[in-house]
Amino acid sequence: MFRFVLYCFILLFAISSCGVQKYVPAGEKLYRGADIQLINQGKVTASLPLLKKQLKLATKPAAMKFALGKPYKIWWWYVLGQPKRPKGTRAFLKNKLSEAPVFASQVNVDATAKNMQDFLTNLGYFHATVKGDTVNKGYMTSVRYTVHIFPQYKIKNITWVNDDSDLLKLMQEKQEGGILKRGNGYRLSDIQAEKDRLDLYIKSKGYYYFSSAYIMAYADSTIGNNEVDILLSIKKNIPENARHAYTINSISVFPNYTLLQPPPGTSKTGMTNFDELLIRDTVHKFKPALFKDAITYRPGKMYSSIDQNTTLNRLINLGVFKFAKNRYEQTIDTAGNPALNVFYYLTPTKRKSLQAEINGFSKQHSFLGTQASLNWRNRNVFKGAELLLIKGYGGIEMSFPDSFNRITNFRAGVEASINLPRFYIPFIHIKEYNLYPPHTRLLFGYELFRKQYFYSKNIYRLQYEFVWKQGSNKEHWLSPIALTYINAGKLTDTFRKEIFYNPALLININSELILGSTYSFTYNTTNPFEKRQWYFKGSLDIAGNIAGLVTGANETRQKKVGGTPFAQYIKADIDVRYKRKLPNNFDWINQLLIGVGIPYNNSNILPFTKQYVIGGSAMLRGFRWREIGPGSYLPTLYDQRLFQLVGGDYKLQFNSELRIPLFAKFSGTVFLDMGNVWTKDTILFGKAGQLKKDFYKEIAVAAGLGVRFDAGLILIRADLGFPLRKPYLPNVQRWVVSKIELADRNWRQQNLVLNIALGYPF
Amino acid sequence: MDQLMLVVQTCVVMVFLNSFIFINACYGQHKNILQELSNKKFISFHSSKASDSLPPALLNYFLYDSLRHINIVSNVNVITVTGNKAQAAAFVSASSGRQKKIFRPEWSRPLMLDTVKISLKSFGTSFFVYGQKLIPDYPAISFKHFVILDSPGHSLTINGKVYGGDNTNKNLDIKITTKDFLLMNVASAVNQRVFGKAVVDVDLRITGNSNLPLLEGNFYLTDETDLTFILPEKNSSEASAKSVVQFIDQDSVVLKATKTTASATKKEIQPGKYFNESVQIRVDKNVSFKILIDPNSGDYLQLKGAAKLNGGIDSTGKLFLKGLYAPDFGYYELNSQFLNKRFNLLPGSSIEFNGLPVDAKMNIRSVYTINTSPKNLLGNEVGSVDRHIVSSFNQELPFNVILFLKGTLSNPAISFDIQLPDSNNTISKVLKNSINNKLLQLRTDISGINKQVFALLAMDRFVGEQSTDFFKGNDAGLSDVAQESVSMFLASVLDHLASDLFKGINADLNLTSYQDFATSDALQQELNVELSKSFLNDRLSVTTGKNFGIESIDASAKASQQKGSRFLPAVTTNYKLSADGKYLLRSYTKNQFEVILDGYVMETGLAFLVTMDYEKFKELFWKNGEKAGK
Repeated sequence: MFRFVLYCFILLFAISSCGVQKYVPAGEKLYRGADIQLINQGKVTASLPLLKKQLKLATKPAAMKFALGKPYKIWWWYVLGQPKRPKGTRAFLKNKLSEAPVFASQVNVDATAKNMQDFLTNLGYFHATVKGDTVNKGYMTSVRYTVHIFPQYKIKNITWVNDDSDLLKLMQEKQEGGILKRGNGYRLSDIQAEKDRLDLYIKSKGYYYFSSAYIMAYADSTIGNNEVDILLSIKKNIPENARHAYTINSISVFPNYTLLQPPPGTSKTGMTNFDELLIRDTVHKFKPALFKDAITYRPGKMYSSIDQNTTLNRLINLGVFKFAKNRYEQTIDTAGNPALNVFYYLTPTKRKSLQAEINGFSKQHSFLGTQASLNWRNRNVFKGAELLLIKGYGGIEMSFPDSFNRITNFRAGVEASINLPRFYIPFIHIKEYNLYPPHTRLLFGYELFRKQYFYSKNIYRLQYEFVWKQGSNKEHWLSPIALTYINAGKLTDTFRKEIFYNPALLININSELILGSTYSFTYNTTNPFEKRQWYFKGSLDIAGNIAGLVTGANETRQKKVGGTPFAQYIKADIDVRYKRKLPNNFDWINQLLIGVGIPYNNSNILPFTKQYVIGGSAMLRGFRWREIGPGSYLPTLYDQRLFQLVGGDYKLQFNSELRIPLFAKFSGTVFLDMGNVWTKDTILFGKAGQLKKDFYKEIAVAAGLGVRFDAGLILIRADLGFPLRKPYLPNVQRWVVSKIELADRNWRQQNLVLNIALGYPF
Repeated sequence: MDQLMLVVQTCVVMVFLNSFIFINACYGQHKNILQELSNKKFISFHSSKASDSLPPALLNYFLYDSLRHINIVSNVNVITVTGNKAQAAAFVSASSGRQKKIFRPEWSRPLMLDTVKISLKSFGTSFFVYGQKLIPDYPAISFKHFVILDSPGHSLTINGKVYGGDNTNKNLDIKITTKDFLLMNVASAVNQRVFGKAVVDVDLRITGNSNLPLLEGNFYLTDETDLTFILPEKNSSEASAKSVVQFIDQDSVVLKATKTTASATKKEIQPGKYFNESVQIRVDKNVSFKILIDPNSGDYLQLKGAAKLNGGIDSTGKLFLKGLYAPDFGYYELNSQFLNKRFNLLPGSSIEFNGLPVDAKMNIRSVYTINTSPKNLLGNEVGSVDRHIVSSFNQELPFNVILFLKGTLSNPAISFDIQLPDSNNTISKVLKNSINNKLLQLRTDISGINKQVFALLAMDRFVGEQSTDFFKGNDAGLSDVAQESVSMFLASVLDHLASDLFKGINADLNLTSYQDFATSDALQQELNVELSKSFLNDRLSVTTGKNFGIESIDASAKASQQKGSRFLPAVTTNYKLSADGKYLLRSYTKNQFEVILDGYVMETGLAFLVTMDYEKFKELFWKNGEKAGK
């Protein structure tokens, strides 16, 4: 079958490549593409191939696709003709297989040469010449552009042309930290960036009507020595209102704005004056204090774009307005100085909502599942944009690659939470003017968890937490109270039997109370286009420290709170990711994960919900979930089947992968994973699992290849991994690289692991 | 407009040229007159001696300072008049002459003009004089039924005389009458400010003196007339003022800002010093004028209708017009690189002349009607309303984009408005009020209206406003766009939007040079496609980090998602399957603290959500189309 298809393709290709010529209209030639010859006319230090590639982008139109020198897609274009229906099979084929022919007559050689020349000028390669010649060959025409390039001009001086205005003084003040620097190569983009930078600064100093287009840059390239002087000035004919700094005269808020009513008048009747804000809310939908917190500036202050953006962002983030907009009106204050009247038009969203949700997910440890939930929301419970959310859910998850496909988890639960768009601490008011308003959340949750054939668990949660952003790329999450109470029940007879043989299994069903506090901090590189990108997340989780002090616990599960032993541990972990963009849209991505959990006094291991695990689709792709260790321990089938987790208290994990764009929405990857987990105690997995001094000798290593399909909203991946180093083998035999035998069916069965999951592993 | 002046001047001069050349030659003031004429580059005389190709001329000139006298011999045979734009060959026969000192010339005897053909490039047509007679009658020259023919053979008759006064300033008393005279017939050509066809009926009386001719009578442009005027191209320095950088040589350019004093205040338009507007210029109701507003793009204004204007010529030969031209019919044709639209003239539009024609004040309103749904216009700004009203937002309605053309002909300024025609009674009051309220609000926001007009013209629909649009501060770029023509307006808005767009699209390609790149058509189109894509992208919202179910947009996260190079974990992406967000697809990542019982693992998933927002519980049970509260 495969051969047949192959032959068909070869045949089709043969037909298609020879048949195009007859379709080309008389007097026309097909455009073969552009060829660029770069001639270095001096000491150009930049990479010429890169320049060439960039120049290639400036050639228009884009050439058609060729294979073996034949425009095979055109053949389809002609053969398929004009589809009758816009959505029929023919139209589909035409879209997929063919492309419109590009004729030589569509190519404007001079304009393209001019574009290329402009492009070089914009990069500081002045006086470059570009000449285009068409070359005819058969029924095709290609264009050869000959580019003579001279060294890039460097910036010698940057001067402001002074006109003694306040505006210019401001600009000069801000010269430090500029993007334009002496000795740098001339680049148009730098000049634009510098203008934008100055514009931002000026706008934060009251100049509401200013625009970066009002700054003029002059370049004098006649000074010789391949250098250029940059002169900056403010254009002479800018609008008068751009020359003045404005103060805020009044702030009016219309929190019930709707187009059903005519635009509200600017008269002050019907307005409540609250903390210097004029608010017109005739139906008292919102408490005025909401705006007091959301609006970060007051009349009398100098206008600043930072205030403007912060306030708007805070209003949007309240979640009760589906549309928020501001308007600034030019006026004169009582002293006769230029001022602005500010109006906020806020259209409230509907207060309540009912939401049904069904989802499919994959977890990092290879579980796949689905969950349905029903959510009810009230977005403005106490008229201060407080969000009340009540949620009921039920779901099921399975682990397919697991050696025991009988492991199925069921979950059902309810959750009620209230979320306030500010720091809410009783008796304390925290004033803050961050870009993103902080949130406070109080959550109660109950979940019934059923592990098929074994047991059920009841999980009760209470959480009181704050989230705030420090800028757009730094997020803090503090949960001073995070209580979890777990008890197990409904043991099956099978499980009871197993316990009888192995009492260690009891750990699975111990009741447990976690009186915790957590804090985490996230940082990421702001600009997603930067070549090097970082992501950092650090978390700290402390549990049972106060309870431990009060009760004086010093032995495992000795002390109880409310009849249940409480967990006592300190846990800290960091997650660092680094992405490096490589040429040809390749990405190199790395992750380092270090986790340390120290159970003490009342606990000898971390609670199962807090343990670190390894293996599976996103952590160690050459080992199945549960089939690897802690330490040098090899989990038995028995362990795998009966333990809720095969995890540990310490973790070290490093992953690296190269992402390679393939075609259309497919991409490929080559990866290397390494890491392991270790326990503090010997209770579960004996000495083999314990963290020792030479723990690094127990690091597992895996590698593999993968294919990903990016469906836009979500990515589906299939990563095929195999172990390179197995920590559970005797110390000297751990490296198994030499034993790789791809041809051996047995080796393949024992070692290849296919990981199918949603989303990138990291 | 200089060209227009040129034509008028040429016209006047040509009418007299045939006669005056000789008269003045005889008159002896040829030095002055020749200098004057040659300064104006209308004619220059060749020497009196025969040139190689022409029979010997018996008219002897001793010009300028040579002998200070003129020797005129009878039987003038050939005179060649050449000029920059005029070519005339005259075969003239004059009987006998006399020899006189140049300072006191006298003449008598009629001057016969056998065959004279005058062709003027800027008129595109030829005039003929066959066997006409000039009657020199010292000190006057008389015309008695002097006939000039146009190319189809219509005659223009000149009666009257030039008399008295001193040598440089003669009194005039001339009557010119004609009917259906083809004055002009020029095809469009480079460097031609006026072209087209002009057929006139003239009944003019010229009195006064040659320095200050007084015109009186009627000038009628008949229905065969069809003229195109090209307004001067905008100074390119203005275009470069929009650019990022200018290349200069510091040594030759003074950059120091000279304090701009109030010198910018425009000079009062002063009608000609001796201007009198006693010529009544009438335009037939079928005459159409085309005014090319933007020679670069080809935007033009086509006007048709009767007019009654008063006109005259001042001492410098400039044409002055006064009166109101209110065309009955017309349109503004937009000829941008990627679209063509026609705005039809609304009644009440006019051009008011009061002085130089180029300084005429335009007050033109024209309309372009688009059928589109108001949904994007109203967008999110309608508060809680019944569902059936919301669904009525989807219905297509006619919207009028009104184009105002104001300012002078030489310096037009455009502005826009969007209106919902009053005549539309089929829509509900609520919808109508909402639309009108929104439009009312838009009128206070130039950048807002510019953006909507751009969307309507370029994409035939409104652009939904996002709260995040208001992060851009004053949005000076969009309120400060070119206003000279609609094409320039569109290009300028596109440029502005592009500069934002390209920051995202090609940021890693260094193509901030979009300004230079966008010059070619193909790129402009590409840009257009990108633009409509980005407008459609408002269904996607992205948040990073922990979110509490608030659908705000995180610009940097969105950009990174769109690049297809997902890097940040814990990103939530929402995609609205229906525009109202009722059906939603969401991809999410839950972190370790949200996943219960599984240890340190994360969860990645895709969810389908159905959301119903309501204020009162019963709203949930309303069916689509059910008329509640009506």
